[in-house]
Amino acid sequence: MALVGILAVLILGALISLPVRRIHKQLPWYVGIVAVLTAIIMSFSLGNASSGTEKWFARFTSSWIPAIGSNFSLAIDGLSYIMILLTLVMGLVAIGFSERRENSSSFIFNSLFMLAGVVGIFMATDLFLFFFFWEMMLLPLYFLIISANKEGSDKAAFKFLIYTQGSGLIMLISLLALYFIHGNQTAIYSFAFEDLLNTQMSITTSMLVMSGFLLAFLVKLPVWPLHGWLPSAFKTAPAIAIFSGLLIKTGAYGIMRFAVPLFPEGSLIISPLMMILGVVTILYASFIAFSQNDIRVISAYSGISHMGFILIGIYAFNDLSWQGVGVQMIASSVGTASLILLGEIIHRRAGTYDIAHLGGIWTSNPNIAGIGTFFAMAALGLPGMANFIAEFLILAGAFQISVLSTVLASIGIVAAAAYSLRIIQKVFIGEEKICISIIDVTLREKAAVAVMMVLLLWIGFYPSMVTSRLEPFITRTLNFSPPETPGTEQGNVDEAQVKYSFQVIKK
Amino acid sequence: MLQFIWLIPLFPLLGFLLLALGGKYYSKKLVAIIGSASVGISALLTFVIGLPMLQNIENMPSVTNVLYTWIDVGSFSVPFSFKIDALSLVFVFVITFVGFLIHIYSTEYMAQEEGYARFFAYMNLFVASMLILVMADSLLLMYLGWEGVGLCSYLLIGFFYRDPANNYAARKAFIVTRVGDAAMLIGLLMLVFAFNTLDMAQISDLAKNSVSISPAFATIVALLLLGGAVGKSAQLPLQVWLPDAMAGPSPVSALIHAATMVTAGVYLIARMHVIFMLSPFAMLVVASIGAITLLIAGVSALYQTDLKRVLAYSTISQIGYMFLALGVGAWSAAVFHFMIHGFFKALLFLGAGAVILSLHHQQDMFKMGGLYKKMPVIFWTFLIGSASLAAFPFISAGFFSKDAIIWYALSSPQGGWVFWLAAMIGAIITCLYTFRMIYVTFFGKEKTHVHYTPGIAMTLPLIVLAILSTLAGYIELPHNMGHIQWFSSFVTNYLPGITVSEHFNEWVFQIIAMVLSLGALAIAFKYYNEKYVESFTMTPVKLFFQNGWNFDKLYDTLFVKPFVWLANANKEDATDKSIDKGAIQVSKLSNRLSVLQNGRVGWYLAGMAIGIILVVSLMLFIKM
Repeated sequence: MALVGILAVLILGALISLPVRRIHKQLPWYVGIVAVLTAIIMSFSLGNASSGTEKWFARFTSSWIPAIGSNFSLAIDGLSYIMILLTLVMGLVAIGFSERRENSSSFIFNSLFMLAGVVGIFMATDLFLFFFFWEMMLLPLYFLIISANKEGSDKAAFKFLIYTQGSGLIMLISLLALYFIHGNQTAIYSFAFEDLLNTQMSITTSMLVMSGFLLAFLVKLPVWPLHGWLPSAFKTAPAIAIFSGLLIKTGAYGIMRFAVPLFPEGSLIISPLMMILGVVTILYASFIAFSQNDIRVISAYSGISHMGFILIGIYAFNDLSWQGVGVQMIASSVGTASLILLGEIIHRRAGTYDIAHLGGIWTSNPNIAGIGTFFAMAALGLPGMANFIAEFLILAGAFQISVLSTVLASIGIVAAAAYSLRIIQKVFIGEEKICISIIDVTLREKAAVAVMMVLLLWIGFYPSMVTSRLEPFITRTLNFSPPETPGTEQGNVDEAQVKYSFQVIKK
Repeated sequence: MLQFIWLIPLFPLLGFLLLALGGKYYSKKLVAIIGSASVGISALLTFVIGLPMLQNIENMPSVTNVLYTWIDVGSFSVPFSFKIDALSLVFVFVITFVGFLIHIYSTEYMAQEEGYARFFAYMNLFVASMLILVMADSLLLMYLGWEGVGLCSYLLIGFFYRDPANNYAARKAFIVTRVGDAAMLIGLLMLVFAFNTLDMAQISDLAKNSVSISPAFATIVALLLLGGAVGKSAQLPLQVWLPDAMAGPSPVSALIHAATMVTAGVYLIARMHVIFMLSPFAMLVVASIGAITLLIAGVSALYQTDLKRVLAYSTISQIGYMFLALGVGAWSAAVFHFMIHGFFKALLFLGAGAVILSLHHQQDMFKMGGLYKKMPVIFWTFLIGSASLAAFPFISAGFFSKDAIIWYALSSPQGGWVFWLAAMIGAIITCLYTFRMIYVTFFGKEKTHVHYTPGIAMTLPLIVLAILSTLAGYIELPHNMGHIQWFSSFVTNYLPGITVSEHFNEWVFQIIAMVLSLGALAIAFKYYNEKYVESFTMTPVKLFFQNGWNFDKLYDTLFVKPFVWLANANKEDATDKSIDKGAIQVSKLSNRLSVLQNGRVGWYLAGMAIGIILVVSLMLFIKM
């Protein structure tokens, strides 16, 4: 019930935020903050309540659309728990940080709805429900981007919609294909994830169905060459950028939660391809990040290059790299968001995001410069901060599978140093170009920055907080073997063999 | 007391936090006190902890403090733990003690600069990172210190951030060393792959006792670790950052060159010596890199005009000696030279800083001259440091440490004539550039007026270091001269000893070495005089050597320019643009297709008819 409660609080908050605007202009903002805070407390208590030995921390199932065999079934385990907390905390920062003029009730309404959608994705164990939430998070973000009213925001919104809806549609086709294949086999038409795990398919069919899912997830992730929507979305507004940074984690989550367990043999086959895509993404994005002048765009490409690490990590199929992916999802969300905050803090004072027009801020405002240096160091993966743990674990895991992609990915580490130092060099040091007005960092900004710093350091020095939560999920998924079902003639690849090869890869 | 060794890095870290968060509210005096006391307490702790451990010099226990489990993933775990054994104790002593002296010196040196608190914050963090590096129990924690050191060097080299040249030097230092770090990281990944641990003692045990890694594997790991080491220690081919690192204030140079940073590579190789010894090829590479680097850097030092750049190249060259020693298996000689070098190089940089400060930040030696009368304390201490650098026989510590390396370069099983020759030529060059530096700076005509006399905070560290640069040599004397081996019997608690071949007579080679270096001094005495100073002009050849054999230009063409070009060429994100273009084509196509929907019934009917014919014929075709 608590799971429904979390969703309900967010949606209720969204609905309340609309009328309360008439009472006071600032009231929607408070409603938003209270709603997200409540949701955080609720989900936090969920994690503490569980002993950690059971598969799910909490479950909820209720009949939803019986005609098609879809239930409103929610459940969370370690992975979902971590992702939900991350979503809500980043949501809190995004809403808390946003400027007064941005705090229209529609902004709060859309933000809360989007957060509910993302949280729902991390909870859903019914694939139709999953798809429902998948679509539910897109529209509010579309409206947010449109209403950001910045130059190019309508184009960005359109691009976002085409990329995500188009790929979502293909996922729906795959989803239905899986549903019917399973239904034909067992005469049980169900969208429940655990039922669909038993579907028997020829390898060709399975690859085809899988590619539909993957496409949606890879666009969301995003990987090269499907990444075009992200930088333009990052340019619209800070809150939107932070939300987009969260949204892309649903892609990684989808692969880990659904694509790999549903199509284990297919995943193994495409693993080399995904490794290559990951490497290309890392290098491509970090090279572009080096050439950009807009802090937000740098942050976007930096985020994209992190996603390359995630892809490599997932398709290395071993517990080190999967733990790394888990940490990277948090590290990257916090890392890109912190660069966005930095850009916004500077923009509010200097009126520009363009690092070519900035310089020497250290003289006039050492606090901002200190914050910026800290975030840049986090971005380049300085040990002691979250990114380092993530990259190290991913590379340590990937090394056992593919030496070449690991070595190439390590070049990304040097490139990350290049683009991160470039931010420091252009913005904070050198000759003073723009005298940033003396307004020091405000309390709201300080709070947001402090949350980021604490998260980055905390995970950097105590990653067990995350990894211990993820461990059961990872062990379960990587040692996955579908239950025995009759009529295995259709399966060309022996399931036992697949299980075996996962474990071989692990060794 | 032994369960509190983690306090040693903690105090400088606390100093950093206090200064970074509240520095602007403190008075300069308070900043100076916090800044130097934090390191001072660590130095004191080192004595308190270290002295009891020295009681049994030949069987020293090691101490480990496990604070908590840092990473715990499945069967792989990394504790956050510190360890002190013989090897790290030497390093901790040099870092805290020399570091403390440098901090004291800085309180006066930096007094007129803005950013006083910022400076001490960075310096404290530097010391803390370096302490973590040498006290780490696992390679991953060591890597944390390793990168922390890189960060601090970046911040401190670019301390005077208004000048773009300083920022460039800082960036260069960070990125060049990070290239090495990336190699080292891959080495770490390989070790995780092979041993499923990063605990250094475990790795050493496993590598020693099991056959789980092949010689080829050991070679690759050793070379990758070497990549990290040459980056931080400024050895060929990653030596280019160090001469430019002079952009930082002089105490920073002293810290980088003597106590922290550049010695990290020596420490890494000494610490992982088991892996290196599994691969004779890697050892050969280490020794060769050392030999080549010491020559190349020595020659460059001969043609510098900037006082600090002479010292910078001399550091590269002296670290080259340490690498040579490591490569020929003279482990304790390498660490001994590290310690002695730490004393005299700190002394020389601090002395140079005092000169530069007294002459309105004039760094060009050729504009100094005649200072020996004006600044007697600085001159005499500088002279003592120089004697150590040039390995002046018997009365300088540098003689004993360098003599050991030259001797082992020949007599060690992995040594040979080539290495001995390189070390010997290097020693001659060292004498030449050292004397040149002394003469041009302190003798001849006075060219710039002295306007500042360093106070006690600056001179006291110089005197202490001068004493150490002389006396510290006597704790380790050659077999044939006194045969005192306190130092080597101490570090061989961790490092393997060395057996020399019996072919060579140590006396003969010591006398050759002494005669050659004294001869070099005589030649230098004759050649470097006022005439030399007045007629010194740059020729293209000299310029080539002065610019460090133009490695900068080479790397600029090979790596930097292509990278920048590639990044800028794709500024617009070609993939994204082409997809956008594709989308525009699709929308154009849809515009064209919309012509079909023109409302004329005739068109529609014709379209339907064609469609039906097509479908029917297709069906017939399939049926057949």
